[in-house]
Amino acid sequence: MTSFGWKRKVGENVTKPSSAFSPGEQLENEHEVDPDEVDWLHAVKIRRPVDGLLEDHLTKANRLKQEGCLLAETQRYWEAIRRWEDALELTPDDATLHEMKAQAYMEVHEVFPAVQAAEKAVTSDPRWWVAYQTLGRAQLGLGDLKLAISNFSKAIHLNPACSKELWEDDLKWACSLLEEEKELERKAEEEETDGTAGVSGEMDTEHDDDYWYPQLPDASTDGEVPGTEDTDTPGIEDKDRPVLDRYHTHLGRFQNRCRTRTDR
Amino acid sequence: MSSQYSILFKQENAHDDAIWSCAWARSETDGVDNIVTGSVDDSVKVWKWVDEKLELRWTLEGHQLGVVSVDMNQEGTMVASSSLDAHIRLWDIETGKQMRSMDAGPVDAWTVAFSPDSRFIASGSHGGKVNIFNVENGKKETSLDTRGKFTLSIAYSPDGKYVACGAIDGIINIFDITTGKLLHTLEGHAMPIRSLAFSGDSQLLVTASDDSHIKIYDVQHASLSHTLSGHASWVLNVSFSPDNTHFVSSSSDKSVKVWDGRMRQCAHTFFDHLDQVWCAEYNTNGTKIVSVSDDRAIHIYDCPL
Repeated sequence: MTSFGWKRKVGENVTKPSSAFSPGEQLENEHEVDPDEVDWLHAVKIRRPVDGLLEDHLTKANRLKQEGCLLAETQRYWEAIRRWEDALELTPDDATLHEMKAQAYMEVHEVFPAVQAAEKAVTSDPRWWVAYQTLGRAQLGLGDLKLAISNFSKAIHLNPACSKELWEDDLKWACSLLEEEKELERKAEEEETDGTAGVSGEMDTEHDDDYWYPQLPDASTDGEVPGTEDTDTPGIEDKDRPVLDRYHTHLGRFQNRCRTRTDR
Repeated sequence: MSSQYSILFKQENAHDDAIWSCAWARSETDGVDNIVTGSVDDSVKVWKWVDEKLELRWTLEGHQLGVVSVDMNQEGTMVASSSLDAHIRLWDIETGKQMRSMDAGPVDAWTVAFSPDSRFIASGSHGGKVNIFNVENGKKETSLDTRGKFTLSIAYSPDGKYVACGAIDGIINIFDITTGKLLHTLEGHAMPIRSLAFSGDSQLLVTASDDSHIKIYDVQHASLSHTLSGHASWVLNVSFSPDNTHFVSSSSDKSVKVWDGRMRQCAHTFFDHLDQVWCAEYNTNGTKIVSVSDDRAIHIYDCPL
């Protein structure tokens, strides 16, 4: 009966085991079921001794949740996600499950599913500040600084007495990243305008220790060109590196900071 | 005059993000009904209520982070706004220009409230202090110490005698402004008090808490008069009607409720927002209510007198 695996889940939620049938009767009926049709009776019978009798769906969801937590603590994130997904089929509105899933996805660098899971956590419990914090962190992983800042702000607004972590590590950190991004954009724009206007030699010397800028075709008339060519290429990486480095350290910090949320 | 509670107007997508705060006052200089809203999108917007609809008058930019609270003075000429960036800003409604910016210190600007004489702005702080700023020079005038926790909400009594503040641990403190003395400490709620309001005659104080209850206190005797339940979730804001009997509350359960303070019962429930409603306020004569929500909309309701 393994081919009916997905239907068993439906049966478990929808069909309540009817005491009128004994397992023996159902076995007899089994042969009469058309192979193309859903074998509801049998599906129920299979589920009953395993899940139906031993634990109700809340207990089962809770057990799966705890198992997932244990797995996540030992860095087995994919298995943890699997457990929590199973639990979510039983308790789809449990914000903590969505939120932990989002964290686990961040651990395995699946940023997009992380954002989706965190969004579900927020809709499941719009008053839980932790969900907003996790959503913000997931969006930060996606590089969506403005949305991240908005969600960190909402987390603080819901829980003004929150720890320094949310203020310093999340909100201020995201703000500083946004500042850097703006600064980079501003410089890039400046160079673009300089690049189109900057045909004179004076402009070129300014660019020596500044950012990369488009090589002008007529720049070869200038005597300083060999120098600019040498410094330009490493210049790109040097200037970009701090931002990237900080970004990666931040991702690393996620891993250190990531905890399972069972305290709720 | 209308005789029935009804929704008059909806301004969808009034801001780019959730709206946290609003205020309504009529300007004494030109008689214009101004509505001010503050949002997570860092902006404060001034709207004009004319011909049964809202017209955007100014978008006030300057705050670096979400705007937690806005208030207007009695004369309807100035706006005060506080933000997560720890600054309190003062704006002139007529010109739409910033008049002053005050650095309240890290995490130290939450709810702002104008004194009835428009000379001072009170703001709660992280350390449980109530800081009172002078509007004229932007300097911190005094600081009232509750010796308690984070002061989330603040209200001046209309007669100018008291300042009431609510803390994150549910404690309410009432100060005498002239002496700066702490008059009463009320242990009304066990959860954060996000808003409180005095009645027009300064006799009653209503408080809104995360425990989903609203409490009415007798200010003189500092005694609990009533506890009202009806909201299914956190009560985020309360505001008194100028008629002294009705007040409006808004909640995380997406509803706006109008209460009859004398009968101690809910007079009407508006269920029009799609998300939690952070703030609801009466207009100057108590005939309309404005509410703002996480759903980015501004709603205007009609109220019978």
